[in-house]
Amino acid sequence: MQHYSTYIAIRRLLRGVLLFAAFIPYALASGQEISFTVNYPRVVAVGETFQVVYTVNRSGGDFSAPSFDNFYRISGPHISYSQSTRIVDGRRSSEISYSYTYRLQAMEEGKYTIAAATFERNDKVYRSEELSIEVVPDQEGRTDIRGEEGRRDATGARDGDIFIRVEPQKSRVWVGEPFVVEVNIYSRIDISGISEIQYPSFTGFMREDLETPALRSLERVNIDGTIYGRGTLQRFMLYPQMSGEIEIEPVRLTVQVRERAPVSDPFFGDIFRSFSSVPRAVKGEGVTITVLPLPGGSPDRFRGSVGDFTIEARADRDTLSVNEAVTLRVRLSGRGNLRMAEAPDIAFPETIEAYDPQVNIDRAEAATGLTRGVKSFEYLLIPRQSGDFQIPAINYHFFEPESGTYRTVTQAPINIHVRRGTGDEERPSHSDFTRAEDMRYLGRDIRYIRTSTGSLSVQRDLLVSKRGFYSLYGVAALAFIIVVVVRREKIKRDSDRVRLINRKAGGVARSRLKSAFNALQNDETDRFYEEILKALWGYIGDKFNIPVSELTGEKINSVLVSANVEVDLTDRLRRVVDRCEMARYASVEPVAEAKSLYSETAEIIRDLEKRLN
Amino acid sequence: MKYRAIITTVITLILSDAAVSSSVHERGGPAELFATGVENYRNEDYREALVNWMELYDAGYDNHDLLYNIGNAWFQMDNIAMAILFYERALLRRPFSDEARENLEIAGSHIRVRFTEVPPPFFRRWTDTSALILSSDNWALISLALFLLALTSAMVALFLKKRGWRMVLFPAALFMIAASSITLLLSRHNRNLVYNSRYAVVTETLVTGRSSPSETGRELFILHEGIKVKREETLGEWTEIILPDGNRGWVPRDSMESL
Repeated sequence: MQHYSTYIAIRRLLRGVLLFAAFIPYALASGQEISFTVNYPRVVAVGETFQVVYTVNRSGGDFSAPSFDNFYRISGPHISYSQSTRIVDGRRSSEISYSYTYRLQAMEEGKYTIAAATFERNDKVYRSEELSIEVVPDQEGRTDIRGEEGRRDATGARDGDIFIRVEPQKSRVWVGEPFVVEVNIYSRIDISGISEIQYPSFTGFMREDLETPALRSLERVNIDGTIYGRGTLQRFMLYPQMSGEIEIEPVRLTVQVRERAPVSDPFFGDIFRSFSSVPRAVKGEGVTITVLPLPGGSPDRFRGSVGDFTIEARADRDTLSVNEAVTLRVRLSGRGNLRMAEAPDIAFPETIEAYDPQVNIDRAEAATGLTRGVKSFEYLLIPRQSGDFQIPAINYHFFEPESGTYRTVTQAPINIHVRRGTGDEERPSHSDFTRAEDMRYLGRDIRYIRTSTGSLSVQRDLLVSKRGFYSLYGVAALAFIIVVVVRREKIKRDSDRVRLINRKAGGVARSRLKSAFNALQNDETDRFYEEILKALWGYIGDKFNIPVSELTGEKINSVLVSANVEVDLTDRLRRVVDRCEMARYASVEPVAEAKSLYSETAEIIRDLEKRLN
Repeated sequence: MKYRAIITTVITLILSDAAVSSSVHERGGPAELFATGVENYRNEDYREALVNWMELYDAGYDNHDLLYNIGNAWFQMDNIAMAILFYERALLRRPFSDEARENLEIAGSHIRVRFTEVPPPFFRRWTDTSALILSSDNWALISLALFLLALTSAMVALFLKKRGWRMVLFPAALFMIAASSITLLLSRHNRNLVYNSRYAVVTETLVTGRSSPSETGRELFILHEGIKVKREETLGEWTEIILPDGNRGWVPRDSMESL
């Protein structure tokens, strides 16, 4: 083991130098940091001798060691010094290291803490870490790995000397919650190499290999009182993909065990014993992980992020011109399955052209197995119109395993002011029709509700479904029929009366003429003319159903014309009427005239009678 | 509009004893309840909006705007079948309603199945559409008015002595009698379309159509919710339906809601 650590020390030194070389300019300018480290075994057995080595990379200081109470100091400090020089690009750099080595022996079982050593230089005190050493009982009969001189003969290696464990950080996880699994090898015998490692397939998990330092030395640990050397073969980050009791299969590998060749030389064999590496297959232990399903009631936009996150968004500027670019950086930081965390949904204003985000995961501490980190999404935004725009609030939903609840973190809205551009790039060009685009519709949704309505009334029984409605028709029709019938009756009665009068008209006229003739005989001239007129008026009135009071010359004329009476006859009638009127008022008519008037009238009535019947 | 309301009220008062919903009036009357629903909808409380409007609807209030809004509320609550049902009902109240037609189309695009529809014969479409232009009551009132007008003009014609007027009024009266009977038929047709619709919308998620009205009938097709079907005859718990593409099958009676 010791040559191992020396080897490592040199390697480390060399690597340090290499690394250092890159920083020479800075190192020269600022002065080298003082590093003060200690190297010691964590677990030792009673009676075992071990080394504690303090290393400091600077000379010229006071080193003071703690008192190693409870341990027996066999020797020390042995001081050793090493220096390495390097020339890179013509620059020379050197590194020195002082180491103070103590050889101690463990006395009694127990856990002990040894105070820190100090290194004082230029009035500054540097402290090493405190030592914490566990002393376990003597490994008699258990085999030991006590270093060079105590190396055990490996020919008698037994089961249990070497085993492999898959050690998860936790055995109860939620779906999607990342956790670290270490594959560790434990050995009590010397191993010269490991090959043919078959890692489990991790069915049910998404696996990510974590950077694991190459296995160079085994760290001493106490397992049930036995000292084992432990080394980490590989570390994985696992993301459970399904719930249930999921078994991780054991690891298989082959170790090269150093075995002593059988004694062949009876004289020197024991001195010049040779070692050979013998391959030995080792199967590890599996482990079962309980993966809990995420509880129901997840938010709509939940995308399977598990952990504890904060979100922060920033635009690199808040005022810009049209067609200039602005970068919106959304930083999702925290602990959890960052690798699978999706970009948050951001509804950018439509006039801002947004490109797909550039995604970066910055997980500086990934190597140490922490799931903490930052995932950043960088959106390139180019506003195409001027105005004030708002990038709406960004909500990010995740599941917090500790509390077993869904949580939401929110980034407040970000305002961006876009100035009018300098040129006319904003204005659509009217002359260039080829550049005209079709109208774009952003989405389709149902039309909005009617916010007001006309009269709202209860829909009672429909009119057409009611008998009463139809009876309205019946009532109306009945009323109509009644009116029609009544009118018919009346018309009929009226027309009967008229026809009677009409038929009698001739007779009435003739009797009037007769009494006119009598009046002429009696020389009553006035009565004669009156009777003549009455005979004529009465006849026409009866014939045409006109009251005598309405009879005038024109009226008669028009009635006769409409009754198709010849103009000749009408003229004769009017002449007779005129003569009668004149004679009545002038009374100069001789008797002979009156006689001719009488015969004329009789003739007219006869002609009219002929004409009208 | 006002006159119409008065006339309708007078006629309905003559004809029936209408009971007015009391619960609606306790809550400030139908207009108030409608406005509350609108307010809820604006605040995206779709459930509450739906409750308010449905109360109106259940109380017998019935117009295009109300039904259309109810359809929207159902749509917002992701119940596509009920949304389609109410959009269809709204369209029966106002066949040329752009918004109801548009939303019906959008809701229809959420249905998984599409049919190549067999359009009804043109005369059928014409009569249906013209019957739906006015409400059943409006048609009935027009019919009655035309009838009365026809009788009046006939009577006037009888009393008039001039033959010229009679020559105009008598044919007019005859024409109005004919128009009155046509509008009466439209009124009845409107009633049949709107209130005794033979169409229904499937409300169950999945319904199996069978060849006979029993569980043992051969399975013919599977219907998804939101599909509009035509009901033929009903036998016990089963109804024969005609799909939009003309195929027939028997489905459980309560798996759909009539328009």
